[in-house]
Amino acid sequence: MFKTKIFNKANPKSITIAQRLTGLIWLQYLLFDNFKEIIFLRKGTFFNRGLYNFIGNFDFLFSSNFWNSFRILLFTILVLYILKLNHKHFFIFLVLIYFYEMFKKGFGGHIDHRITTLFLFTLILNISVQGKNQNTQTSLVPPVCFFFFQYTCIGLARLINGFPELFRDDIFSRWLIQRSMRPNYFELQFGQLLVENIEGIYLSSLFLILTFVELFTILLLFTGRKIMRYALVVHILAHLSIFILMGINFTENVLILVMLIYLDRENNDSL
Amino acid sequence: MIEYLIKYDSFVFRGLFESFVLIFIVILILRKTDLLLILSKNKKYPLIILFFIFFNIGQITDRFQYQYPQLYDTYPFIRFAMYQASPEGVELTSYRFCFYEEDSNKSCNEINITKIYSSIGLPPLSSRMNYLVQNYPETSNEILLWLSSLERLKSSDVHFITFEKEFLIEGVSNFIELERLYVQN
Repeated sequence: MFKTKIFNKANPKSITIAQRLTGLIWLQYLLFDNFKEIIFLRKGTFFNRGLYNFIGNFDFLFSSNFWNSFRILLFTILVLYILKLNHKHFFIFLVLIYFYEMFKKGFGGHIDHRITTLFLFTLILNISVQGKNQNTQTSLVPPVCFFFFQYTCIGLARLINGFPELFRDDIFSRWLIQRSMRPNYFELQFGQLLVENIEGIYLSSLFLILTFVELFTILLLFTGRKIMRYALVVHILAHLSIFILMGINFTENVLILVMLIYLDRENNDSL
Repeated sequence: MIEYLIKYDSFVFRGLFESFVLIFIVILILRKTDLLLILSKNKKYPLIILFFIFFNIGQITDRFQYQYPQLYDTYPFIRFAMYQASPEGVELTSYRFCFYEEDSNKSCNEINITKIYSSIGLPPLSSRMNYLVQNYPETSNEILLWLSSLERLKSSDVHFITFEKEFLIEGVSNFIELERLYVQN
């Protein structure tokens, strides 16, 4: 039987540190979230889905006064949560952020996965925290298990649905070109540059290797600290590459990965 | 949904196989490791297990993320794998929004909506715009709504705003204007 090694020597303080750092990841997300312009999108571009199916007249959603007040409330509750780590603050925040994210989904169609990852990670972390005399590993493993497992699911889906075409033909190269053509925040077009200078076979091989890294991520719960740390660094580098080559940012995933490296330090006494 | 399944019938088998392997991996991990033992020591164990069951149901069933508009929403238990194998492969098409001045002789002042509407997120916004491009002319009214939303950002010398499809011919970008909105100054 394989033993779960992650956080097996972690300091009890790691739990509150994890909660506060997760709160800070939310804070940076909200601070840099350029929300003001989507209020001015025409009502017809909004698809009411999910909970918005149950709200009859949503004219109030297209008002900057409403969202300015809402965001102030969101910030207040979040800061209170970070300071006091109170469950009530946390669950109010989670309900408010759900409402906030579903509004954005009305314009985009599907949800931004990095925020869903953060949402579920925070939710499971706060559910698994047990109060006084808690075991650190027992409390921290559930959110990390989810976090690692979502990478495994992504790798598995890509491998089974895409193999062998995705890793053999020019699909990955075309993907890089397509992402370079489409507008992105910093107008990065390095993907196209890469395709022009490196043979498709090398790019596809690298993509296959990274898919296997994703697939085996769940096993990091059971490996030694060193292997886990190297694998998490590979994940961070992969996210940074996706940002540079495709313009898609995974800031929240990267911050969670950095947090995990920090929390599972060998000498946790200094926390 | 049935139309969708018929169109993507070649991937139904792969989807079923993927679901089977996913369940197999979960069972394998729970049987060959002490993970379940560690989870069971947590006081909220039943709730945590329930979350993981919902999470896995999401991975197996949520296969229509690109369909607009969706009838149901199971957020946050959604499928994380965005790669959906497509019979058409990867189409090298894009889009752009342009402001045109009356005397500018057709030079596009491109508006980067991924910056303006960054709050929506790049992947969802990109999927939505791709949907508008691929389903034109059915999406004509919707495109006009996006154009009219951008009207407030124009300067006084802008005469009209366009939504254009970009495609490559031998590596060179070409544009087709799909919709145009004249603006009042």
